[in-house]
Amino acid sequence: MNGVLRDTPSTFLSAVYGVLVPLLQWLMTLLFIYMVVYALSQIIISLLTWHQTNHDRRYRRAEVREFLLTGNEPPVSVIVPAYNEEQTIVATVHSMLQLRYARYEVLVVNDGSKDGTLAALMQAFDLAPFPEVVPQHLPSAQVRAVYRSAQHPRVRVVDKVNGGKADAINAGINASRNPLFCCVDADSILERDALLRVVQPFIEDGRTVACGGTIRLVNGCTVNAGHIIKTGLPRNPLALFQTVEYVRAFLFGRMGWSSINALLIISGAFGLLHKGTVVAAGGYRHQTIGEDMELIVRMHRYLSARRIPYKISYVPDPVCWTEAPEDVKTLRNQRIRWQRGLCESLWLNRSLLFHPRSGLAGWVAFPYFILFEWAAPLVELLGYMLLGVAFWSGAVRTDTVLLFLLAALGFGILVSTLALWLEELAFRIHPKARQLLLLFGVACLENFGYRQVNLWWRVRGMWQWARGKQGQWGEMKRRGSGAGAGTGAGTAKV
Amino acid sequence: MALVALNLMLAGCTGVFLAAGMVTRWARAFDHARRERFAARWEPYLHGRIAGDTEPLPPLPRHEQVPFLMLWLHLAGYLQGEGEEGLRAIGIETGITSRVIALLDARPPWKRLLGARAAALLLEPRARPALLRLAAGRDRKLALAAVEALLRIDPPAGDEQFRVLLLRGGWSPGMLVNTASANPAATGHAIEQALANAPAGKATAIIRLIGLIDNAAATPALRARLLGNRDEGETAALLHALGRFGAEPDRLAALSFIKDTRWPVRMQAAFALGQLGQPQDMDRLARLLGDTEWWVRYRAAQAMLRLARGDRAALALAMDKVTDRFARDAMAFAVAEFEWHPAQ
Repeated sequence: MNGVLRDTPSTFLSAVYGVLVPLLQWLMTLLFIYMVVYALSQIIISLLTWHQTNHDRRYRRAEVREFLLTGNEPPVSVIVPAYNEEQTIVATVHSMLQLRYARYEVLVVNDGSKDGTLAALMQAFDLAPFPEVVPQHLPSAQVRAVYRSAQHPRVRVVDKVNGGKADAINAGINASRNPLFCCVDADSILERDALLRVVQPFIEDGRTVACGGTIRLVNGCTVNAGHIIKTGLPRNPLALFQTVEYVRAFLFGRMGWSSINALLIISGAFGLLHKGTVVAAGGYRHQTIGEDMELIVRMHRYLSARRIPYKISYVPDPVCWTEAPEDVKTLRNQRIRWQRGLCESLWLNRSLLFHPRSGLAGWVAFPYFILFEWAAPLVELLGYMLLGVAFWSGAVRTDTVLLFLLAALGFGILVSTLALWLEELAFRIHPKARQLLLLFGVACLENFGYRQVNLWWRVRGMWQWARGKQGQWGEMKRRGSGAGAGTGAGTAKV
Repeated sequence: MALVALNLMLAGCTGVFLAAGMVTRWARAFDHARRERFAARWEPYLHGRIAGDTEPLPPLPRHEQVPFLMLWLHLAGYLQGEGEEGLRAIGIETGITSRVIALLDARPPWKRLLGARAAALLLEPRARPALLRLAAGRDRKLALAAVEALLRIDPPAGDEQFRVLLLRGGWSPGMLVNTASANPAATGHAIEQALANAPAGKATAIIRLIGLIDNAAATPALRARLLGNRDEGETAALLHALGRFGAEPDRLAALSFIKDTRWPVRMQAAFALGQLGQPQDMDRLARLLGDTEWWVRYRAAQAMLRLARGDRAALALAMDKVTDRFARDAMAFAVAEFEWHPAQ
């Protein structure tokens, strides 16, 4: 940073400059180091992801029997927590019933919906009350009734008093009958092979206790009868920005962490978990808003503390499609919630950090999350403020400020481009080259406005967490979810 | 200067990765098209030979041997045993055997996996030493593929390796089912040996595997393992397996566990009694209906229903002695479930 200061023409300011300049230089050097360490960590994660992707792709080609349904797969309970999902729930359950898997049940948990969710289910699946006694392995709000479908033996519905998403999933776990359970959001679409693929780590390695799949955005895709028939990119700019974010978050981050058994997040929208381990770890925590991440971090803590060998995996190709918010208000609430969830998860499980038995999860992933996920909004905000002060005070040359800003944005673009390349390597979901170029354009554009707004929401999330404000699930404003939009014979572009 | 250099580096890296993305896209499209062309050329020959045609095969250059192996194995995988003789004959005729043996020692694991699968289909005895090495290796998928191949090529060696593999532990029973089914006679013996030799607390997966492959012949080994067993998981799994395959002595064993302090053991004891019990066991099961654990109550209720065999009077008689609300709930649930799916 030396040699970048403007000449100071006046002796009047020299005293102020005497303090300000070294301070600014020191802070900017720290920021510079932070950016470089961040970039290096991203490159290491991307190399891990690249290695794992290549290995998996080649192995799969050589493993001729993989993904053939043998009937020996462990039975799975698909738990669908539903709150005011009248519009989509029937289509979602219909789509679940078409999964290519031998032994599974679909367990819808109606979490005290105020709309006609239960009535819609009762009518569509010919439900009848069943005198089922639900065990209380995990605490949950009172179960009012359990219903069974006369048409579809796989379908059961648990009707309970409202208690939030975590509570609903806990009730679902209590009522489930299988050793593995898969949580799916009520507005999501699972690919037909998704369960068969996500269960593979459980079959291949008896130590596996959880496995996550990829979440993709249904916005812009064509859906028919609850299934994606054509992928596309959304027209809404907010949804487009989120498409790049999802690529970055899932394939780029999770696969790399999974390869070293240090994955700290499995999305609550789609993940397969071992019921016994989840119950032993205490189930989903009601008080947190990021209950999915909190549970996974707690499972790391619980298992490593007891020296129980375990694996928490991520497989990229079982895909669950979900709808991204397309309005600012819903997106803002979601981002505030996510940041709060992250803060809560890390804080509540802080004993994992540098715990002697916590392995790479506690010694690498946890510090990474603190440095580059938890603290990132604060550091970035500080960076903008610092550059502003430096610019307006004239303490640092304008070209230096601009170069610094450009480098910060350049890092963001580089990380997104890396993720897009890995996406090409692993999937090639978007069939046209211009779609890839469009996503690259979006990855550049998101740094001018969207990223800063997001940053502000994340800071607000941290502020709310620091104040200990009670979290709530926001209402999701839907354009017509993929599952719902494509029900029946019609085809819908979402 | 440092910032200028950093920005130039970032721009350069971004450009490189964008270009890599586009090149990856084109390379994969090219590769896909090449494989499609290859499949279109070879599939008629493969299908024809399976159907009994004797049309001569075209030459298979070295650079096409790996794509051929993939196509050949995929076809064998999807046919699930049908036309295996024809496929093996094609493999031998194309001269891929020496390449398959070389693949078993290749550096990339996926090539070794391909080699193991191909050797199994070719029944190639020269692959034995390499397969033995792979079976002892750390890569689970490779080890399993090698054992499967050995079970076909050299059953005694495969049997021994399967036993060793079982004792290594960490397997999920679901993964071993296919291997165990590859040669049931040989693997059955290996499973019993492994069950007898497994250290305490390490046999749960083996016991579950016995249940998955319905290996009733292992019942004596299961009984022997149950004697004096202290491990919760193992005892519960043993009671479950004996409940399925056992007889009168196992009923007595199950009765000795219904007051066990560990609930999974009591639950499986109730299950076993439901399978093997006598009408006089109804009272003992009725006592289990008042257990503190939901699963024990539920399994006891199911067991009572099974023992009553639809005899409502016998059931009512047993239930008359039950005053506990939870016990009555459990029984009402089991009855409703039975009436919902009487076949179960």
